[in-house]
Amino acid sequence: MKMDPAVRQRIIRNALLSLLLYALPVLLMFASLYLTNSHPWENPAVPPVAESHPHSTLVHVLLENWLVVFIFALGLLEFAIGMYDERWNGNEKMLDIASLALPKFILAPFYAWFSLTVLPFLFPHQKNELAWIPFLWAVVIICVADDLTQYWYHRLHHEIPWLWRFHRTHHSAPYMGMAMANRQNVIYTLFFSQTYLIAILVYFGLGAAVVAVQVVKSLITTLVHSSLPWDRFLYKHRALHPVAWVVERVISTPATHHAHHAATTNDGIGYYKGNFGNMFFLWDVIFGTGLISREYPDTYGISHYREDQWYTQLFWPIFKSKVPGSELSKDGPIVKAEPEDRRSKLRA
Amino acid sequence: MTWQDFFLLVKKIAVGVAITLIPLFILVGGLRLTRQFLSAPHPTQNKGTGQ
Repeated sequence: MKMDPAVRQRIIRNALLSLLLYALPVLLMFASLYLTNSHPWENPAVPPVAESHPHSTLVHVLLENWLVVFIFALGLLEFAIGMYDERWNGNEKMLDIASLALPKFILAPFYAWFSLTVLPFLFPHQKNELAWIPFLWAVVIICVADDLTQYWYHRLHHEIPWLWRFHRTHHSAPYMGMAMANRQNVIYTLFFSQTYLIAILVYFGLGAAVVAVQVVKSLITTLVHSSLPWDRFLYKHRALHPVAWVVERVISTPATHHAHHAATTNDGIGYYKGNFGNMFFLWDVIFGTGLISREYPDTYGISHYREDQWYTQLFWPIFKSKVPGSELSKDGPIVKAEPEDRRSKLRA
Repeated sequence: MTWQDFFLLVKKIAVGVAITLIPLFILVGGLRLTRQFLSAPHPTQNKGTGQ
């Protein structure tokens, strides 16, 4: 299956614009330091040293794993108020739980090895080279570096046909919620570009800014997958509409991200052909890949999904699906055409 | 896993490496240049110290 020439052209145009967006925070910092005649490298901030806790307590464990605790708490709440129904069956449960656990036990040690062994070998003299950058500028630089890179990684897996199957697992869930927030093919997760870029920037001395950005980013990206739509109150009250207008254009909201996970894109609400932003929706606004409807789709997932075995979704292409005609099966299509959506036809 | 899958993986990794290295070069290159340009003696300072 070949890429649409119009899509290819738009990717090239947007990629060129991205070069400027990456450079923008550096240029602004340059202008700021020039105008104030500051030389922060003359008094570099000392990278903070982590305190050791000789007696690890439950509180420490909870604080150090706050995101996992938050995901579990939110997931339990969703479960308690009945947001998971019969669609969360054994196969889906195995896939969701394995996707949550695997990165913690296998990928995290690999990233640690990369950061502690590979980076000192590749860049023996660059450790903390950029530690002089003022904290607030470092935060801006990391926001752009991390989230714009993830935007491109994500977008290309949707727009380049042969990359789609690595990301399909995240979209096969016919529901939204904490259960599927971490659902990914292992190879998609292992080669996350922004993980390596950020690991290098931490090694170069921007670790404190990375921690600050990751706290906010984790909250936003976790909540956009939740089946609890925190943004609904912004659309309900007329007085809050100006706030909603700004919020939904800057950060991803459940409405815009749920639209990205919709089973159809023909109803004016679902939009799996866009809304690629993770922490920031701003990239979709800038590149024209966004759709804001302030509504939530009726159905989620992939319309032709027939429950490929959980391990094939997790480890494709190492294991192949036994579902005939599936994109993950041995001779399956690279991208299966969506059947015409009956509901959208009726609405039209 | 077939040879076709293997080449697919190689292509995928190549795309990922490009998405990682392009911003890295822009950011680290830009930050190094920032320090280099701003560390250079200011033209007005030269005038003051020179004869």
